[in-house]
Amino acid sequence: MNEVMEKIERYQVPKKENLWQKTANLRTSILYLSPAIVLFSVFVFYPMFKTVYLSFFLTDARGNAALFVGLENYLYLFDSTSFKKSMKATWLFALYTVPSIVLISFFLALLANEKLRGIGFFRTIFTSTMGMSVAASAVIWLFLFHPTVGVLNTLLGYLGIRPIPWLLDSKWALVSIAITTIWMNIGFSFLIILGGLQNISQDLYESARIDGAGYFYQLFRITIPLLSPTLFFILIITFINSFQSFGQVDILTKGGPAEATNLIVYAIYQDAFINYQFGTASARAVILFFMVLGLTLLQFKFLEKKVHYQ
Amino acid sequence: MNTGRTTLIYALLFISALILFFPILYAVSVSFMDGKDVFNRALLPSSFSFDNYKKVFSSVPLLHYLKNSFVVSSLVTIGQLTVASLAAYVFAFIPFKGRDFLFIVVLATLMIPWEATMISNFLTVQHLGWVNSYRALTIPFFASAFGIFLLRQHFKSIPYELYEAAQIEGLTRFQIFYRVVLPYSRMSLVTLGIYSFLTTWNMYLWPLLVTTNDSVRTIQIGLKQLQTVEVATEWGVVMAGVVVAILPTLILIFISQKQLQKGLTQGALK
Amino acid sequence: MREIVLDKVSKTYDKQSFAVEDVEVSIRPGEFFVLVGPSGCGKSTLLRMLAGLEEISAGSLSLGGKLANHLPPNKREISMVFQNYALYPHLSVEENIMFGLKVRKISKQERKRRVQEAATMLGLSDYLKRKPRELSGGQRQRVALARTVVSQAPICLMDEPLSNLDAQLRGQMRVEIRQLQQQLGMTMIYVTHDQVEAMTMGDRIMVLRDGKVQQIGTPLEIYNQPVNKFVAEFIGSPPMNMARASIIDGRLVAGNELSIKLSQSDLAKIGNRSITLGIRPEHIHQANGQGRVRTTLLNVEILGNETLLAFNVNNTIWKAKWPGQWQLTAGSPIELSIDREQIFIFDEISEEVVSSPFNKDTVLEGVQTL
Repeated sequence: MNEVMEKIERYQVPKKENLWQKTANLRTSILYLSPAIVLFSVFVFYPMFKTVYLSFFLTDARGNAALFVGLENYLYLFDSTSFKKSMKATWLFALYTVPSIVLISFFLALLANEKLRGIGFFRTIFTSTMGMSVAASAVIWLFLFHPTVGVLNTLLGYLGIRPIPWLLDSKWALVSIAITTIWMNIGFSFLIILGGLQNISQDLYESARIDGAGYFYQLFRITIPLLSPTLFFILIITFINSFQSFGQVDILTKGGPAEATNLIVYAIYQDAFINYQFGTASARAVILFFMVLGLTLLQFKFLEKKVHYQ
Repeated sequence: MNTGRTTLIYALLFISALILFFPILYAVSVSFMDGKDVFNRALLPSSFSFDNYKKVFSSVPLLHYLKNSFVVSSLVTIGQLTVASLAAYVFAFIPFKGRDFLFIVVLATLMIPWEATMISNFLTVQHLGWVNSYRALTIPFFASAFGIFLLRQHFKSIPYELYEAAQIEGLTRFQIFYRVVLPYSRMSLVTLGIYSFLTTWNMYLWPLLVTTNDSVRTIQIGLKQLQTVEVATEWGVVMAGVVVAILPTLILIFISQKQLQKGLTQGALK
Repeated sequence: MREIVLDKVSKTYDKQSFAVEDVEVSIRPGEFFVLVGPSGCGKSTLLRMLAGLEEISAGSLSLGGKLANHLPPNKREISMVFQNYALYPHLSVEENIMFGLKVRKISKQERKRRVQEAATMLGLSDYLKRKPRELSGGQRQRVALARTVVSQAPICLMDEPLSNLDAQLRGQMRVEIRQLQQQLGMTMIYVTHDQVEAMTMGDRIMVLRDGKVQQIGTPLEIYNQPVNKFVAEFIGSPPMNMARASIIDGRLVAGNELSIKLSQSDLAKIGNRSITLGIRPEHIHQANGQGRVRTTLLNVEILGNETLLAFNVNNTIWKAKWPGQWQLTAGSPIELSIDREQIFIFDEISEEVVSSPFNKDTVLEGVQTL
């Protein structure tokens, strides 16, 4: 024991309190945290374990584990062309949507960050798709894509582009869903990126202007480096969101044509709630979990790095 | 600033706004069209009438769906604010052994996508007999890791002096919570509230799973019904339904754009 | 009214070192007691232990003769003014002042009366409906003071309350706080790093350094009779001049610049220790043949009513403070005299005072020469 503790023990005035008083902090904390703890346990942690558990079983139609099959469900999936198609569509879909969303939102945010009269109006318009539900968006786009009454092909016709078989062709169907998704997601990404832009100190731009730096020099040397944490955050969030897409598939294509748009969540939904294959559906869900986990860990890694820089 | 540049930026702003907002404007336009306009792919209705709106309210229980959506969204908003603010208060102000660990556990739930757990959650809800009830649509969403995180960040920005001054005045923990911490963080509570309301209002997959009849069905599922029932012939009616469904959230966005931008970016990135 | 007694009070955070060590003092009712020291000296920690915001690691605190170590803050009958005032931004000035009274369930009538009284006392009557953010720094400070006034707590703790104000306002608030304390007759414990505040406001001062009490006394005792080199340098502005010195042929010598003849009794006290010489700037005068300093002027600052001269003594920069305006040129050689009676001599190792103007037995010396 060191001198400090020796002295403390000699002159300490002991606190007369029982276990009840001593644990006051802990007790209040648990009380205040209990709703969150209970809800997370019942609706996040328990079902996650249950899903992993179910993925090792064959189930009956009511979702009860019936027969332990080990990794059979996974092996079955990895072997099936349908699953491969679904995974391919999922990743391709991410590739179509994620960079487009980030770039378009960044572009719009740069425009909307200018100090001009009436800029508030444009900001609100650019944010507006954040208020659009997936169901409403998908129904509107379903109409726009419509082969006979859809106005999209008409508009493209003015530009000399021939009618596109949007939802009918297996290649175009995924593009159509991607367009819908990009449109829906712009609002939120725009809002976050604009917020990031406005957090950059104006002094930096002013001093750059005094040094005679042009617009693009400022963009690449000040804006993008300082905005990179925001851009990375939105990149990951958009990526995860794209993995979670469901409503647009359900309303626009139902996974077709020829399973070309059978994105992973739609596949889970079909397996579990149309075909009652809870075992393979759970295996798919576990795979989804690992895909999202990977992206989240990537984000933490990046954030850690950022902390080191500071 | 030179005027050439300003003009260019205004031009880009107008074009972008037009393209981005076109689907919504067009939906509104179609909602006033008759069948002939739709068939001719007109951009604007040839005559202006509310027939489609009258029809959509009579053909599906749209008002009932709207009411359900309001009830569910409001309940989830209140639930999330309550659960998250209580938890955030502990994480920001009351130290105890294991608190940091618990906070990490809460953050870890961010890594678990809702869709990965929906099968078991559906089985749980079914087992509890909650299908076709508000309970199924609301209670699973009361705890939000994002909400807890956002509020904790804001609570942490409250000067610790205020907390100590309140201690000296003799406030109990709960009094400090509702008389100092909550009023101080009013703006971030509003932000989180708007965000929860929006996301709940727009929820699609879960309500699809747990509502099998009209009793608690939300407007989003109503739109799907409408689209499958009416399609092909009556697009004007479908669009009228769409406009009714998006109006509340669009208004919310128009009112709160600034607030959301400030509140969410601070929470997400600090 | 209650006496505050601290006995061997210590605080450790890391169980390896003391943030505050062995503080022993008793503070009389109605006293204005100042804790002063550089940042990190433990003064705020000590105050927060008094408030009950920090636990006392060892030693006892008693209020009015009763052990108070484990009393919660609100049972200690104290009020506290924080550095940033701790005003609730969502409440009006009036509600801020009343906040604590409401919690203590004091009747509405009584609350109104006390708020009116405090607002008048502090000149806040016109601002009661405003929000804190609509007030100036000085007004916010007054709201914080008003909160103390209405609480009627016999003990008031203040943690650097003036550090966010500009110099002029600070001077004004010093006077106001002092008057308020005397008017209400409360015990004030006041933390500051500013020695001017300590000197002008305190009945007694406690000087802290690295968690240890250096000296407790009235402002003049501390200024005139510092017990060690730290206190001597910390109190007074500009600070006391210091230089390493040695004894050569019965004379005190510092570098090539300074040489003074010392009395026998001083020489005896010094013995063969290594020593540091200290002298306050106001005790260095124009050359008058006594205690000579020969050096070069480094800088001259004319402040209007007085002039500060800077020069080198044994590789340290010294300052002299002369009344009046002196047009002197920096860089020119200068000769100065030191008041021999005013010299401090400190032990180089222990930093304790060896000889000071107040422990010189001048009378005895006189007897000897007779």
